[in-house]
Amino acid sequence: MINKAFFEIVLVLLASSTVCSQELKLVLCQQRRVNQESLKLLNKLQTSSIQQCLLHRKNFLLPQKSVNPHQYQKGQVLAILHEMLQQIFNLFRATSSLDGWEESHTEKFLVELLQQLEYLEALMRLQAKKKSDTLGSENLRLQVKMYFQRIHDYLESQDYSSCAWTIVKVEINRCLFLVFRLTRKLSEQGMET
Amino acid sequence: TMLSLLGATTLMLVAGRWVLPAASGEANLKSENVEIHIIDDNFFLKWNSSSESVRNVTFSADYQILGTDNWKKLPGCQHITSSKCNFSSVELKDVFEKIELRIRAEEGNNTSTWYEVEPFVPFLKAQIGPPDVHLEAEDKAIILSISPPGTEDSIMWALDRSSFRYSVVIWKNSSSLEERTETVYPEDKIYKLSPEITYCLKVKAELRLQSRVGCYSPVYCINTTERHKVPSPENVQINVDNQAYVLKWDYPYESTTFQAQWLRAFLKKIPGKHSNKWKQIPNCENVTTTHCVFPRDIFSMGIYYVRVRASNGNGTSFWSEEKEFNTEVKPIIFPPVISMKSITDDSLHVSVGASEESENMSVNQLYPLVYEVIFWENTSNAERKVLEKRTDFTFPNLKPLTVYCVKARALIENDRWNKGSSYSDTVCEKTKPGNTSKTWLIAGICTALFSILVVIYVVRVFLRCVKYVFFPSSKPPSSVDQYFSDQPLRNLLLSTSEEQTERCFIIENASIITEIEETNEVDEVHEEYNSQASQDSGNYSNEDENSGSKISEEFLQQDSV
Repeated sequence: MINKAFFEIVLVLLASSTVCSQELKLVLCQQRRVNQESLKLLNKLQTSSIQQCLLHRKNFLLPQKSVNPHQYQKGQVLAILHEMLQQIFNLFRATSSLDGWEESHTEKFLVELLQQLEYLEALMRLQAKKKSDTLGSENLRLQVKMYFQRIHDYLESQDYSSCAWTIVKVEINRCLFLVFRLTRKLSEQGMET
Repeated sequence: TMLSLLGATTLMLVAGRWVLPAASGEANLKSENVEIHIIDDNFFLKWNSSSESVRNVTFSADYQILGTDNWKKLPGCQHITSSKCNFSSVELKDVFEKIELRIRAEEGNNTSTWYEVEPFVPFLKAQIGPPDVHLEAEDKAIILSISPPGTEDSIMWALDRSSFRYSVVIWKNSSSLEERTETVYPEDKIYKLSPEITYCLKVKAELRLQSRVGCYSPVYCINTTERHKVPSPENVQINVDNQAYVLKWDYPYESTTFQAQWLRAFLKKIPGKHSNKWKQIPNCENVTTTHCVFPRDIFSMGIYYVRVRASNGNGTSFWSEEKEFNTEVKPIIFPPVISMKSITDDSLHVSVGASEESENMSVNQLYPLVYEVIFWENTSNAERKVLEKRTDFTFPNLKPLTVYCVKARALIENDRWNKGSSYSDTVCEKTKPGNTSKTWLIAGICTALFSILVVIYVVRVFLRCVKYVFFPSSKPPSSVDQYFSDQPLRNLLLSTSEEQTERCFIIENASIITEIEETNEVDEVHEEYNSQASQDSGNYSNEDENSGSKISEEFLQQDSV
C-alpha cells in the first residue's frame, strides 16, 4: 500500500515542471525539489525492509489541523515553515554520519533543504521589516518543536535502529507534504499582498 | 470533664499558636515574590519571605504537568531554609509542555496552604546562556570555535543547537573604543585584523528568527601572531563566464603557486570542526596565475564557500578569506524601470533602466540581462512581445493620436531556466497627431463654420416667413397707393382705429336727404359701405356717418373743430 502510494506521488512530483519566476514561486519551486530529494531517499529503501518495519509504526501526531494555512498571516506561516525545515535539517544531519553509503544522497537532500532555509530566512527578514506579526508565532513554533521532540524521543527509545529510521523517514515525507501545501498557500497569498 | 476541658483548651491554645506563624508564613508568599529563573538547563525558584528564619520556617515545592493531577516533589526544593532553590535535577521529559509549580511554608508539622505559581512553558521562559568559545590566532585573523549554550546533552536547546547564530564584539585591548560587532557561524573567522596586537572579544548566542538573545560570554583575549612571511591572497572573486566559473584573486608577488578549496555552506551551520571537509577545486591546484577556470558542472546546485592560499619557497600562507557563492542560476533580479516618450506621430521611444536596488547587487555583473518588453494598444488586448538587448529602442509604424502601453521585465540571457524579474510598472503614452489628420481637422472646422452660417441663414428666412404670416405690417401694398392718392379716402380705408364722431343734424326736408344719398354713390366700394350701412345700421354707424360725410362734409368741416 505504501509502495503504490509512493509510486503515484513520485510520478506527480517528477512530472511537474521546475521552471520558476518570482521570489515566492522560487520558494515553492525549491520546496518541490526538496520533496523530490526526500522521496528519492525513501525510494532507496528495500521493500522488504519497509515491510518488516511495519510493526514499529507510531503516530507522531503531525499537527495538521493546528497549522491550517487559512488561519494565519504570512509571517506566521513563514515561521511554521522555517521551524519545520530547520528541525528536519537537524534530524537528518545526524544521519549523514551514521550510514556511510547514504551519505551522498542525504547530502543532496540537505543541500536542497538548506537552500530552501536560506530563501525562507531572506523572506522572514523582509517580513520582519514590514510588520511584526511574530506574536503568536511562538506558540506555533512550539507545536512544531513538540512534534519533532516526539520523533527524537521515539528514535532514542528504539536505540536509533534502522527500522526506527525508516519509520521516521516515512513520517518526514508526510511532514514535507504538509510543508508543500503551506508553501503553495504562501505563494498564492503572497501574490495578492 | 474538667480535665478534658482543660486538655481541649490547651490543645486549642497550642494549635492557635502554631496556626499563627503558619498564617503569617502564608502572608509572606505574595504573588510578586515568587519567581522562576531558567538559564539553559539550570532551574531556579526564588521567593521573598519577609520573616527571617528566626523561627524554623522551611519551604517546599511540588510540580506537575499542566492538565494531569499528579503533584510530584520538586527535587532540590524540599525543606529549604533560605529563599531560593535549584531544581535543575528535575528530569523534564519535555521542555515544551506547560508546568505548574506550587510552594508552601512549613514549620514543624504545620504547613501553610499551597501557593500556586502561574503555569509556564520552560522553553519559552528559559534564558539563553553564554556560549563556550575557543580561539586560535593567525596574523590577520582569529579562528573561532563556538559551542552552543548549555551542555552537549542539553534538553533545553536540543532542537535548536544548529539554529544559533553568534554575535561577537571585538576590540583592541589597548583602546576599547574601536569596537566591532560581527555575526558569525559556530566555526568562523574574524578577518581584517592587525598582526601582533592583543584583541579581546565576547560572544553571545542568538535565535534571531525567534527574537531571542542570550547573555554574553566572559571576555577572552588573544594575541595575533607576527606577520607571516607569505601573505594570503586577497579579494577573492568568482564569476560566471560561458558555462565556466572563473575564480580570481589578488596577489602582490610573482612566482607563487596557488591552491583553491571549496566547502558546502550548510556544514558551516553545524557546530563542530569541519576542517577536514574542505575539498580541492579541480584545475585550481598548483596554479601559478592569479586566476583559475573550472567547468560549471563540477558544482551541483547549492551554496558553497571557496578559499585560496599561496605557497612559495618561504612557506605556505594562511587561507584567504572565505568567499561565499551561490550556484543557483536564478538570482533575484529586480524589475526594471521603464519610460516612454512620443517623438513623432507614428513612433514611440522606450527607455529601460535598472532599478535602484539592483544597482547595488553584484548579480547583474555576473549575468548579462535581456529585457522582455510587452507592448499593446490601450484599447485592444492584442499584445506584442519583444526581446530586447538594448536599453533604448523605438516602436515604429504606429497610429497617430492613439494611446499605447508598455511594460518590461529583465531576464538572464541564454538561460533556459528563464527566471526573470517581475514586470515593471505599466507606462502609457499617446502618439502625436499626424499631418493627414491635421488636414482633416482643419476641414472639419471649416465644415462646421460653414454649416453654422447656413443654419443662421435658414433660420433668418424662417423667421421672416413667420413674421409675415403672424405679424403682418400695417403698411399697404404699393398698388393701394396708386388708387388712393386722396388723403381722406386713404384715411377711410386704413384708419380703423379712429372713430370719427359726427354731429347729427335733424333735417326736416326729406328731399334733401335723398339728394344727399344719391350723390354719394361714387364708387363700388362706396356702395358696399352703403349696403352694409343699411343692413347693420347700429354696428356700422361709423360707415353710415362716413358715407354721408362727403356731402355734409362741408358742414362738418365747418362745424367740427
